[in-house]
Amino acid sequence: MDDCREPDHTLAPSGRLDALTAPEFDRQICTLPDGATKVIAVDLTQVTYIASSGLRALLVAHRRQQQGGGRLVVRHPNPRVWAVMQLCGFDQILDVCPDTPTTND
Amino acid sequence: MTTAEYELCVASQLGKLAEISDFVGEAATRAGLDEGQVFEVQMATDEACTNSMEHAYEGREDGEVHVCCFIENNSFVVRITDFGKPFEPAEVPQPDITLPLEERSIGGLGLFLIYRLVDDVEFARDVGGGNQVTLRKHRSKEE
Repeated sequence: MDDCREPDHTLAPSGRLDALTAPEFDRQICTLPDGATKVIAVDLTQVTYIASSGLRALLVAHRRQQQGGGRLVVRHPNPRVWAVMQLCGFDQILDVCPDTPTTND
Repeated sequence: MTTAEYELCVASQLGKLAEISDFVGEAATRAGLDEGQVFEVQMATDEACTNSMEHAYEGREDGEVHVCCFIENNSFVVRITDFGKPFEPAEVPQPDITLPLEERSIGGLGLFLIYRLVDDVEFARDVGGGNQVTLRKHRSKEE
């Protein structure tokens, strides 16, 4: 799948991605160089929980990438996180690569 | 009626969300909810408490959030009370999850999740002048 090609940047948040931690995650994405970043991968392997704040951060990042001509790829959500993403319809739109190996595997 | 009641009172700080989740998780497990139901109640509570902290208290960290868990009519109930400014759920736009992500509104997702994760949701003004959100999850094994 084309979306699973080597990303230009990988972010790997960990623990709870909730209202407390989502702003920091958002800041991390914002500090990535503009324009030059074509594919940002968000590796969710270490994320144990995602709240609506975390989903919003992914949505904002997805839009920012699209506007700049890039892509946002989400990797390895755990079954619980994936279920929440599905509940909100994010599975229909975000590029998810469940089988891409990561350094933590 | 004398069913066990669990109560937690925390400051309106987002850093308390994990503690609230653990507290509700334990009470829900003791009430006999299965693992999936426990998670759903924890998440709905997390979203409701986030609303209290971010909207009712507008980020102020010196407010109080009360979380009370009990069993009523075979439902596990979580009641969240704050003393912040009135919250009007009707004013929050419901997200249309069939829209492409590019066209979605950013807000409203928390409320959408609350309604999807529990069986009944009730918003009220607390007699003490704050907001009271009551979440009910039926204690059936099959859903």
